Amino acid sequence: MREWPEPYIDPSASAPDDVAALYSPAAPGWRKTHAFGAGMILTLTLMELRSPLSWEPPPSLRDAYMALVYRARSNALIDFTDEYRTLVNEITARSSNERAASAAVSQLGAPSGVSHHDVLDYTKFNANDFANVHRVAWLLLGRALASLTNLNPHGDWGDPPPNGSAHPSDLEHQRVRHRGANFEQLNYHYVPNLTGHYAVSSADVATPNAGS
Amino acid sequence: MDKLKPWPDPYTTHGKTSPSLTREECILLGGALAHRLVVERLNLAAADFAPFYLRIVKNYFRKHDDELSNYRDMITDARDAAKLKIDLSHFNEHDFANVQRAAWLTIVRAITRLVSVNPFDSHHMESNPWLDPEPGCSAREVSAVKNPHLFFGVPNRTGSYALTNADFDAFWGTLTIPPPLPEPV
Repeated sequence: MREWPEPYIDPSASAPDDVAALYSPAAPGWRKTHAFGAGMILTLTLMELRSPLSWEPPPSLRDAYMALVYRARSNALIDFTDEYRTLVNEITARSSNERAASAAVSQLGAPSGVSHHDVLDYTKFNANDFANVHRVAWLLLGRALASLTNLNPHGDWGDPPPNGSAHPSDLEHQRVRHRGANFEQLNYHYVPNLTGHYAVSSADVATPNAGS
Repeated sequence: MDKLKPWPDPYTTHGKTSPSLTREECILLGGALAHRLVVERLNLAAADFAPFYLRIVKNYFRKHDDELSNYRDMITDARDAAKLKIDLSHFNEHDFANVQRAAWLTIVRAITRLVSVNPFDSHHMESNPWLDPEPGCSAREVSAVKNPHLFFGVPNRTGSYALTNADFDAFWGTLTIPPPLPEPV
């Protein structure tokens, strides 16, 4: 897995008055593996799985995430990074699924006996980290759906430029042009926050060649 | 948990076959299938489950063969990985349709929570964002006439599904999601 692009945000890629570019941190606080570990846990939290899978996070966490995104979509001029930090922290702290935790620890490179949550340093979590965690969850779910039906409902993977990062405002209009008027409700992949660029691409969760 | 409705009777408008699994079992197995499709994605060394499942689906679309035995093998793997004690010895085409459907609903409901929008919620979908069959009926496919990418269909030559979003809400004790959402500003 390649590390983050450097520079993480290309100033020339955004208009000077792009508020997201102006206020986004210069780089993520987390390593890419951390974003993937937290993104995996977030994904499994949002899915409804019952014992003996033993993945039963409080339903309130699932609802809280959707409610926060709802507020962010409705208030696109407010930065919700602090609230996302608190919520993602709680989600990763309370995750109890053994298999999910194992997968996350594998991603995080945590030493034996160390909790996956202990590896994640939330004092460094910034808007770009939220963008990447959210993006990982989106990709994992989108990939799973594509494996299930052979169709990506989004039509593409919304990847940032190669070795670059993207803010949703960079891609939003592209989606509308691609799908036309019927796609307005499907123009749903963007980071639901005022600031934060993501740099996780579909290549980071590439499917091995499934053959013919 | 609210009591889930029995399957439609007759289950399909043709033939006499009915599912051998209950709605609850289909939801559990669908969750196990979705879980495997997600969890193994990040471990490429072991990630052969999702590509193989996709290969079967692709094969169906290319040849429209009956892939039931292949699907049963994959779902058995998912069941065992999840340590579910569900008997699949009488697994038939309708069971596959419902388990596939349950996995689809599991994933789409998670996407809906992630982005606070159901990606299939559009007035072009005739107010059927969960692509449910008609009440009390089974279906093989619900398509969106104006956008062929937006559909739920059973990727097998035979089998109809009757599992709905309302079944998930009844099973999980949730309110139907998502809530009414204004357009982003």
